[in-house]
Amino acid sequence: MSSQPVLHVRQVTHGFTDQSGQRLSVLESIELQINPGDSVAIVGPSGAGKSTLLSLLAGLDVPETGDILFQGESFSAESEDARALIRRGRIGFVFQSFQLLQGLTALENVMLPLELTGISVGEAKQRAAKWLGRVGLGERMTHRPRMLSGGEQQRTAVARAFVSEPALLFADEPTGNLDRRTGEAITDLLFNLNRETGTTLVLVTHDERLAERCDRILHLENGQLLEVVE
Amino acid sequence: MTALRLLWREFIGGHLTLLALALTVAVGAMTTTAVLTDRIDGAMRADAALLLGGDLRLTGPRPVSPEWLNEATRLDMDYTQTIEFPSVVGLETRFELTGLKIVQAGYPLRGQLEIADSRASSGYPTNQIPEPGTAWADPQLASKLDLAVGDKISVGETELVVDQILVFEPDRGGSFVSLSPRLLMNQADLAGSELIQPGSRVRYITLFAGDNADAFRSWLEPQLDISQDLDGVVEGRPEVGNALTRATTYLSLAGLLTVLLSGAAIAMTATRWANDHIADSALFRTFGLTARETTGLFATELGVLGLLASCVGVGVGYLVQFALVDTIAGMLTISLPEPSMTPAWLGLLTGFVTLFGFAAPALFMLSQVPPIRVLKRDYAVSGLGRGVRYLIALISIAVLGFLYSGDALLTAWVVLAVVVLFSLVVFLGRIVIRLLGPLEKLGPAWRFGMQQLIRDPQQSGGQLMAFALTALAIAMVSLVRFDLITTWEAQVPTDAPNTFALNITDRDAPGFRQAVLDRGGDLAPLYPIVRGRLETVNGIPLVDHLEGVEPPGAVRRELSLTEASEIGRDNMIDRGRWFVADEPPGVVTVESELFDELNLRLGDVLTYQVGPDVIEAEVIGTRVVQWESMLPNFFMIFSEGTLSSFESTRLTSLSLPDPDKDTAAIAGEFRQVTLLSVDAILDQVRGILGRVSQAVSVVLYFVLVGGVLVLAASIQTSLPERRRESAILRSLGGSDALLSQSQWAEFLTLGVVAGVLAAVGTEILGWLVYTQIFNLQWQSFWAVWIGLPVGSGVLVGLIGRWSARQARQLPPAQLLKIADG
Ligand SMILES: Nc1ncnc2c1ncn2[C@@H]1O[C@H](COP(=O)(O)OP(=O)(O)OP(=O)(O)O)[C@@H](O)[C@H]1O
Ligand SMILES: [Mg+2]
Repeated sequence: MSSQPVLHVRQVTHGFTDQSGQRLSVLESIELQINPGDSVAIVGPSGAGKSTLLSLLAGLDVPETGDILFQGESFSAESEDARALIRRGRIGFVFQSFQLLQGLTALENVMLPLELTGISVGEAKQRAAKWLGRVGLGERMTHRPRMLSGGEQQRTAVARAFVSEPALLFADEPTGNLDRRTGEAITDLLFNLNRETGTTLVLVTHDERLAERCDRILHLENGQLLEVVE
Repeated sequence: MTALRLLWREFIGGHLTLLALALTVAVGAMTTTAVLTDRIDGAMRADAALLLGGDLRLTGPRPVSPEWLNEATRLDMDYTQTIEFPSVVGLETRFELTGLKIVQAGYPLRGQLEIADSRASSGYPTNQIPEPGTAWADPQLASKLDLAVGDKISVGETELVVDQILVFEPDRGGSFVSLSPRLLMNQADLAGSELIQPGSRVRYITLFAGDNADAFRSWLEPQLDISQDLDGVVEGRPEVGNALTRATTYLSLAGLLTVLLSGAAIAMTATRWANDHIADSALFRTFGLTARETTGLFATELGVLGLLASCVGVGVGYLVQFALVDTIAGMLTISLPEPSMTPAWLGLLTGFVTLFGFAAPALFMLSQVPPIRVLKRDYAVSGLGRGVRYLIALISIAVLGFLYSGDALLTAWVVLAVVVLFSLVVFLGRIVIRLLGPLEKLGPAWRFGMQQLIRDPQQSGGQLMAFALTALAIAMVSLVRFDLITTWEAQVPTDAPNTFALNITDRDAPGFRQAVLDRGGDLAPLYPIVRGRLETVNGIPLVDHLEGVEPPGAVRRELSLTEASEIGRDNMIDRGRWFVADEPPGVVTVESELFDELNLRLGDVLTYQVGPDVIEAEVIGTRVVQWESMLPNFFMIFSEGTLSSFESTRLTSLSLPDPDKDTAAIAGEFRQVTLLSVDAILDQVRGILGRVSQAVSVVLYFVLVGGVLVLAASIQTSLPERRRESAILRSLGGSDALLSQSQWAEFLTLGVVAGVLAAVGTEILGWLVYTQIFNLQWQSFWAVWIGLPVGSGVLVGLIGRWSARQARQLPPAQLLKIADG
């Protein structure tokens, strides 16, 4: 099991064609393997294609050419719905803008992925409460996003990402909307949980401190992905 | 289940309040209008049924088949049979040709007879009919025979005691045709009188009444032969039937427009709802939900919400409607029947159909959200094309409109008007708003306001459409109401003739005329009456001319023929011409409908049998006659001199300032003249028209209130966006006053533009509805062009300001969160 990479990217090329028919190549022949339990930072200038790469890694989109294997299963060959079923319970996300449902309480937001994938309310509630406790929001469970600070919202989002105990967790600029202190607190939280649960962590960031705490740093520029070695 | 939990939580979280509220208001508005119109319609019909003596009247030359009566019993319909025919009634040596009416217990099924104990005393209502061996004579017969209560009259082979004077029959009608003297007698006496002989011109009339009148009518109608007529109130009593039909159509129109308004509000809130859930939809996909599961989730959420909100809306609708009826009960002289449950189902169905008709595109958009959007916000969501969206909306409007009004033509016109209005908004709205761009120079408030409009054409276009629709709806219901009521008032003006005068001899004529004028009265021309039967058309016997088609009722019996030089003020020439001065004798003008039924052409020569003589006349024109005017009217009017060789008496109608006193005085002076008060009939018609007018007004106010509610709801949908924008403006240092003024400027402009577009729409829909549906004349009305823009500007401006104030009044701490949320 440990010998198989969580993510295996083979010869992936991707780009866009804009309205005027101009082709914009974003990724060129990317090769990448990510092993279980690793933490990987993807860095690079704005517009380099980090989010694009992340969406391909998560199976939210398929590459034009090449192949991406998640735990040995290929995303590329599958339909969007089949990819969704592959993601189910195995991949988690943390977003720059939190993406919490405004109408729901913190607890309900964390319960949501469990409930939507068919876990009973009782169990979902128990697990969600446990995770909210772990991110330090045990006292704020009935509060709605409006009433939470940015950091608290992001912690809720982290609890939501971990609640289904995924094998792989993606984070797109998780600290991008937070001040430095709060950002660091979230970073600590992410890495602690990454260690404790053995989840693989793939994050996109502009934040050098965050990147430096990762096991690997990958630099994306001009369509090329380069491993930064210290 | 998850969907329901999500729904519940979002609802508790206050996140669905808007959609739920809009749905509830919309369904509530539709239900109230539907229940109210249903009840008012029922009340009007019940009221008018008094004029027929029942809900349905079957007339024919033979007794009705028992099978039909069985069916009526099966459908829980009451019925009673009467027989009418002319016969000579005698008292001592005086004889008079009289319309006999033979009735059985139960007559009339609706309304009441009025009788008086003597010729001099006044009448009171009764539920009785004449006992066997007795009869009730009307004042005309009483005066012609000079009979007193208690006298014994001979009718055929039998003798009957006149024990009451028959003052009023609810179902007699107000036209001159029905004005022969009348005797009411019991069916038990019919056999003894031996009156009905083979060949007698007998009319068998069966009245039916009951809740299943419509069902019975549809069952019976196909079985009638050409000699039988089945009338409801509408056909049976045109003097109110027309008003009734128009009022019903008006109620349908109001209901239809309410559906339209509610639909617009639902469309806006549903789109809002979908936009709010785009991010959620993408998020759910990252949780591993398939597109289908995600759509299912939202569809369930929307469906359940729709069902619940519709139920609440129906409930609210019924309550409001009760409250409304309570408050207006004092004003209404009409008593409303209990509300039926049909509108509830209709309201529920409507809630659903509108929700899905208008929200399905939004739902579809949600299903199309690419999951990648969680990472890239700017990813466009490809919803349905605008065209498809509006097509779905239009189809649901059309379906519902038809369900509501049951009137395909009316629905078609309204849908057409919506299409036109929509095109106006799309093609003109933006141009107009751009043309108004220079208003920006009025100051910063105007600049922000105008920019707001120009920046988001999708949203301002949607609001423009909603406001224009509301203005159009309100303008239409107000205009139609105004014109209907004016028409009805003109139909029985306060100076309408309240007395008929018959049997005026040529010798009495000038003196009689003077006597009326001396008392401050007014009178129509004194028309000479000669009875005659139409025999041939261009020398061909009538029956052959019609090629076997049964001749219309009017010419089956003797017609009242007259001559005149002036056309009556309630007559209008629609083909050919009226007589010129010194028109030679021998030409005739024919009532327009009869002209068509007789298959005549201008220039045809008609012959009439008058006693032993024959007269001949050429048709030179046709007249549209307003039968309900209470003035003397005739199917055939000849040029002066045509009838001068015949014995005739004259008749006319008069309005007397003090009918009771004046009638007595004139009757004393001219003993041969019969004076008949038609006050009762007039009051009857006036009463009904008045009540119909009230009903129409009540519904108008309701559409008005509904329109304002729906407007407010639609402005509410743009609230989140506005919150964000005012937060940003305020964080940039914009003052409260500036924000308030810019919103005022924005909505004022929107309102005025919507008013102008609505005025264009009103001209179009007005013309269509007036000429094609109501048979009224459409006139461009300057008030529409001024009133709509001004009214709509002020109203929308105020509502917009009021709603947007909530966007401004937020604690600053919250402002920031909204600004970046
Ligand atoms: N749907 C699209 N259509 C056309 N071009 C696109 C599309 N999505 C991304 N791009 C382009 O591809 C390039 C990479 O975009 P991407 O969002 O992946 O950049 P990024 O590295 O995440 O930037 P940032 O750090 O600013 O978030 C950009 O130039 C962007 O304009
Ligand atoms: Mg990015």
